[in-house]
Amino acid sequence: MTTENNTSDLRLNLKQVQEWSAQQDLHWEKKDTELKRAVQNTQQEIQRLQTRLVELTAQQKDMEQQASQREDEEISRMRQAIFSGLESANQAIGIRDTLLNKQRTIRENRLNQILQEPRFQEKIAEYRQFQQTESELMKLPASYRSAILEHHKAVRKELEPIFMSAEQPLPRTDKPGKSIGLIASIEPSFLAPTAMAIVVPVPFSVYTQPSGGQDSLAEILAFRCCGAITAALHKIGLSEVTFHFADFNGFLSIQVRLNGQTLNGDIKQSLFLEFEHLQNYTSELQSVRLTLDLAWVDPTLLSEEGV
Amino acid sequence: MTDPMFDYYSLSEVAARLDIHPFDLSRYLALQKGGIPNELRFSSTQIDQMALGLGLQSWWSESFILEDGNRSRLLIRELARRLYNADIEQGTRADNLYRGLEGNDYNFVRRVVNAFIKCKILRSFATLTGVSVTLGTLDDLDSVLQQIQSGENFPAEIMALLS
Repeated sequence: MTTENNTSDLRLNLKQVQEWSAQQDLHWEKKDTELKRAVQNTQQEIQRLQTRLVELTAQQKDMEQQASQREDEEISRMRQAIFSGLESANQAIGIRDTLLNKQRTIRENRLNQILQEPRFQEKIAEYRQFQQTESELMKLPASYRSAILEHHKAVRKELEPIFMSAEQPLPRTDKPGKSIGLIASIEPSFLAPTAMAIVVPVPFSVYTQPSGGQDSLAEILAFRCCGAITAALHKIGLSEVTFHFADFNGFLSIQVRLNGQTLNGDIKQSLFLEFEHLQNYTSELQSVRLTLDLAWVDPTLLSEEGV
Repeated sequence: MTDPMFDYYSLSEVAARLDIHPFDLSRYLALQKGGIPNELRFSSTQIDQMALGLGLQSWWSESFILEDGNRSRLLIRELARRLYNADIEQGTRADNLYRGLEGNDYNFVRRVVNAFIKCKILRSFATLTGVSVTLGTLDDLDSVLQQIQSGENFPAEIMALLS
């Protein structure tokens, strides 16, 4: 036995295996730690993602709810817009009503000036005398009556400048023009309508409490809208229709039941033409420079719930 | 226009004079040749023409013939009598049936007219210038009107107005 080589190959081999095994232990231990960490991390990530998923699902639900509420919100905002539009138009009519009275006074003053002219005084007196005694004419013999009427005609002719002045349209204001909105709605469709409503921005009391006196601008507008609708329906062959006047949040709603009648034309176009005519030829509206804007809306916006 | 030389009236004034709702008047004017005038002011002559064109009648200008201690019963019986004697086959404006009355009488006869429509003594129909009525479809209409007129018998719808 020598001292130089006292470790056998066997031992060396075993030692090498032990060293390899130790290294392996270290390696696997490291691997195991890494895997455990990865599993833990993944679990944490899953938990985070699950939480996120719950959050996103909740957000999605919320969005869906909001989407359905948005439609209601739009209707509600549209109703609000309609109401404030009518309210503002109503105020504009009130202001222009004062203006209309001023324009009436201007015309009357012009007429009074002509009436004061000395050249007409004698004939005016004769004319007034005739007016006072006109009812008595029938009691007179035919020849007298005829002579008086002839003379009256001649007097009237001489007073023509006065009558012409009285016939003048109302003077036009120099104030800027103002457009007011009216609401129109038809159901179920323009092609086969069964009912129609037009809301005029004047108080409903215009219908329930007729003044019986000088027409206010609100009354004039209501009468003319009522007439325009009548004419528009008549022109497309609708004569047996039921009119109903209702209170739409304090405003006048002119409602028409078309009773299943056949239309001989386009109802929307017919109304458009009548309202255009109303706007262009009405002395009172022209005088205060008021124009109309007919806005068509879905009938649900004029439903019972109101604005 | 204040000067008496010019007898202009507003549409509201004309309606009040004719005892018709101004909306009915505006609807009537819209159907005339030329449509509603450019300015809403009318002369006495135009008012007379409108009254004629609208077919306005005052059913109560004629004095009462019947007598009844109960005012409501009297109005019902008088209306039945006037209907019995009237020629309304072509129809007449519904407001003709209470034109000429005032206050409570006016309101009551309006309700009676509605009750007559309900029990088919009258039939209503819509026109572009307002509601019109004609005699109803009741089989024994003449007899019913005579019974009402005499105060002998009133349909249930009319009795309800008297209770």
